[in-house]
Amino acid sequence: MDDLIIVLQKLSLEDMGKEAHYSELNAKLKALETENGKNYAVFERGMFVPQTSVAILPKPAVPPSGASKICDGELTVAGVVIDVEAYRLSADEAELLGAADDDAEDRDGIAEMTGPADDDPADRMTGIADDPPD
Amino acid sequence: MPKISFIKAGALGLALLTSGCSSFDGMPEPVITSTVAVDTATKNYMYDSVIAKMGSMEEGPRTVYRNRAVSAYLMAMDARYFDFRRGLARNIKGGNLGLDLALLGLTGSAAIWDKAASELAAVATAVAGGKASLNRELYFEKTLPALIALMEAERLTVRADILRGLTRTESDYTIEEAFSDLTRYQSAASLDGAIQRASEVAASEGAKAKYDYSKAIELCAVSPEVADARRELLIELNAGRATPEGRKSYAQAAAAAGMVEARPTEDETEAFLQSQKIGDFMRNICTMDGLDKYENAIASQPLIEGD
Repeated sequence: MDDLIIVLQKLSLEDMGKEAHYSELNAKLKALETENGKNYAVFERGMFVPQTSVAILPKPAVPPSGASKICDGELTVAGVVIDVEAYRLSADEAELLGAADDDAEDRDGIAEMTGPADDDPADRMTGIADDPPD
Repeated sequence: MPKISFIKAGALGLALLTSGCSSFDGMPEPVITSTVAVDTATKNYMYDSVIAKMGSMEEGPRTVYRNRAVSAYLMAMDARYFDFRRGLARNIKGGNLGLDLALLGLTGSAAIWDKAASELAAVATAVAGGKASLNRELYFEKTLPALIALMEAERLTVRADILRGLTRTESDYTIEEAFSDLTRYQSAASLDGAIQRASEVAASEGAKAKYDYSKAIELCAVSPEVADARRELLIELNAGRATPEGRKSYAQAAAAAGMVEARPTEDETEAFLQSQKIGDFMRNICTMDGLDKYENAIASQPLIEGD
């Protein structure tokens, strides 16, 4: 199955990070690209729903505490192409930034119910296939 | 042309060359010099004596003393780094301006003084060559800003680690860890390291995948509430796949999302296709009302027998 690609419509890096995260439904962000002034987020498909939000920062960036890097990329902001880095926030950092879900305890409960997490601790593997077929 | 004039021209060129060095740092003179900062850190907070002194302290004073010692070293390292940056700027700006002026002077003189023309032109060529060589050798004028940016980024990353550490108690972030991080911080200010990082960045750029943007889709804007609710529902559906009952619900969700003849299955490929149908459908649900309708549709789907 092809990669999922969406057009990012938000104008700021912060909002684009949230927009990308909102689309992580049985998919997770893997690349950020820009072409002809349009911004795109590319997702890997799979049976996963990453819990914590995405932070997109201009490069070079100091990673948020506990965050794991997702990818480097380019985005157009206010007509200017800038290099960016995308990070998966840790649960703590996401809460600090107000980007976390409502109840971390509930999430932990779900994680326990659904077995071991993916290699990326920010993901909650909520199903079966770690490596989906193409 | 008398020989003395040729010497004067050379001296003028040399003066121009060296004058560039002192006037073009591109940054102000430091108020706290690196010598003072380094002396303060190394005299007041020698590594051995800091460890020994802290051994007899209570937790609270130990944390305060650690922070003072680390801050003194941070300041000393920053001051040294400032000197280093200043030196880089001086080498490039001063060197370039001095050599450019020398070049202009020599080539200009060659045009005016007929008899010395060939000698002056030869010296000018040497100066031009020297300038090219200087730039090539000394930190590659064009790439230097990028290398400095990489160096700064690395320093900031380590500095953030240290500052985070200083917010913890000494038991959580010991003075030994802090000194270890300080060493990393010091090492981060290295052009060699920045060059290595630049190579890694270049390699990852080269390997960057290109995607077919004609297949890109535009989605509606959703509120955080709807986004959270969608995610919770999907997590619940995915989690349910561990049980036969959950696999039935999953098939119903896929059917409600438009999948023809979706049936409960343990087959990974089939389950993956169902998951993508559900995910694609849910990404286009933009309101709580739409989400409620989808949940109702799941519940009302006729069940097709599965594996």
